[in-house]
Amino acid sequence: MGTSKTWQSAANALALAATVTFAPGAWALYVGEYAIGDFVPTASGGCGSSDRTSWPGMASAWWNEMGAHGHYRGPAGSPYQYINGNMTVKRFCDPQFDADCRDYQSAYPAGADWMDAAIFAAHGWDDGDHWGAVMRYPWKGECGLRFGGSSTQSRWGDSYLMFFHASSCQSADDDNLNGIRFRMQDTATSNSRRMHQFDGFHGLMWISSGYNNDYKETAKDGHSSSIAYSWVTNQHKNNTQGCEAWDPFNWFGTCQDQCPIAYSIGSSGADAQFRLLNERYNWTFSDPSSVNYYWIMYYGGCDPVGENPFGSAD
Amino acid sequence: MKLIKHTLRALAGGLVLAGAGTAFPQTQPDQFPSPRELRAFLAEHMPKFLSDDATRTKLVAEMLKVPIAPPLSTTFDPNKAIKQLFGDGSVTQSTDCRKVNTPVGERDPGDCTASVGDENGAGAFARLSYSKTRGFGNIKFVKRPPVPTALPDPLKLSPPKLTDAEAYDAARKFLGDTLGLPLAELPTGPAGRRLPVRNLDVQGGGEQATAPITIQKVVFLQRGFPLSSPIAEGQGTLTHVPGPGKAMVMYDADGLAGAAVQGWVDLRLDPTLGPEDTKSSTALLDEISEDLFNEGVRAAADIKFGILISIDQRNQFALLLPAVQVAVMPTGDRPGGKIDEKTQNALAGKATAGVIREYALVNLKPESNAFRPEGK
Repeated sequence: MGTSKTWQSAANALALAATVTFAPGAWALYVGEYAIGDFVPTASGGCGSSDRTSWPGMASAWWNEMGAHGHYRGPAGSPYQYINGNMTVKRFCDPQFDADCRDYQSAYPAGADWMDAAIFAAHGWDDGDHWGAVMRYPWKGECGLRFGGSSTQSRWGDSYLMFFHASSCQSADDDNLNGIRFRMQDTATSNSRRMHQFDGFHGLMWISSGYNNDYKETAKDGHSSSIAYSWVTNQHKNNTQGCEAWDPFNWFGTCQDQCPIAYSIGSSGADAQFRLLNERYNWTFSDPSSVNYYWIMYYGGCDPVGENPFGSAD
Repeated sequence: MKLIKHTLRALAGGLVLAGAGTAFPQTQPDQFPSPRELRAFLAEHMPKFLSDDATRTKLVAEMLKVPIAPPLSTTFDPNKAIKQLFGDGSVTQSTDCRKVNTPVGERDPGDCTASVGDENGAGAFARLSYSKTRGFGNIKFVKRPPVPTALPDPLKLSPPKLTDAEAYDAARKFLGDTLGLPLAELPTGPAGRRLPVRNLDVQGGGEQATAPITIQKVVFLQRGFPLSSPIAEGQGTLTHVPGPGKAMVMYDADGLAGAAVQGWVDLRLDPTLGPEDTKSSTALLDEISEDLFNEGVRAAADIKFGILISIDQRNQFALLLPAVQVAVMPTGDRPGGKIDEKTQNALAGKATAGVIREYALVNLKPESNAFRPEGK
């Protein structure tokens, strides 16, 4: 298993050397899970926020299914499954931001950028022009993971991360989409390596043990069809959230949605769209050569709780 | 490569965590410091048909006599579906389709799969998977075209040809004819209702922003059952209740692009349950408030209650269970309503993810052995 990283690096390097846009292939991805269900009160030295006990189960359903498909979930003694524990920004932030950040770390606890594909679960919010997420404990006084836009805290893809799934509210709000791409690389470290796809939610998302299967199916279908398509079709909740008691089928328009967004980057519009429509967990491409373009997949008119209908741009 | 990167990182070591200390705004005290405050909030938001003992009992009675159509285990014919979806071509079936029991004799909830093409390759691929034990009610049809060998023009994607109404009608016909879903359990709603059809769009941004391009029409359908006697509530009247199972059907420019049926379990009535088993409103509020509090709910802008038919799973079938679904809403906006950027930013550090939980409206009889398998 350990050699898969070597194959991947070699494939990517060859592709870049030959200026070939795509060097598709299949290998076991390194897959990680970062999930918080038990948030720690500030009075106990934590970052606060309310528990969501069913959340890790949702993320684990994706992680376990990825393992069932042969992807690498870490050493037996210290798998890449981080639930609660000492979840801090340190394992997500980039050393360009603070030298003690360890997003690239391979040893326990491995950083997000050590993974090829990762799932993340924690409370999130719209932090201006980017996504913020609540950690379990503060690190250097910081309780918020921040990604995208004007935040330079987290920059992924310069090590290994290709696919990141954010099971977190407002992780892909429509008004923050443009800035996501700028943190899908770290050109101070690498001019050639980049993330491929960032998947999240416009507006608030929902927690229920009944949703575990959606995450399992996201992993499963991402081997048959594109990851973007799998994320969006399996995570969308169509007019089922917050309905009035007398309108459970939304015949009268009282319900709202859960709105997944899939986001890919590329060196051209055609490149980014091609990746969005064709890249799978078992058919990955070499890294994009720039972040100049992005394409998204979503359900038109999606209207979540906590945000305006998609496309309102605020 | 790792070595180079780590060297660069070491050089960057002079930087510090700029912005450190910017945790969150002052933490607010919990809105619900104990289950008692949560219970009061629940009672305030509970609809009348649940809070009123007589109406709730009547509702349970109605739910215990909904008409149940023949189950999917008898109406879904995999061979017929395979033939209709794949034609007479070569189909590969997974080898464990006949292994329907777990080692301890329980029904295996896993899937049987029929496919055409190589899932791990670049070519076209299609898969039909369905519950080995059909009573679990899962069916999925996934298909993909071959990966293009050159970059297509991103603006030349072909949109689906069907209108919303055509897609809706086609989806119902497909679900009934090919997958065997009982149309009687797919309520159509009153005239003028909103069609449950959405466009799946893609859109470019960055240096080449584009308008949305629709690549699929997707029909979303919820299993449901009519109440013989509608129940008035608030601004409307409850005529149907949702049941366990939902379906979605996708159409692209070439026609059927996929389908999924999830949790359409074989339902049976529990002969031991009656309206007299309806929980009191006091018991219901106690149960919900304690559970939600234990689940970590400490604040809510709103709480919504919805009636549904849930299940008490018993191996390859499920007993019908009148239930209430409770949705904890972290913000109070409504469909199409505006929530400004400042309000969104103010959610920093707060519990934003909504919670959905289900609770039985009846007291189950633990001594019931009507459906217990015989042991030795």
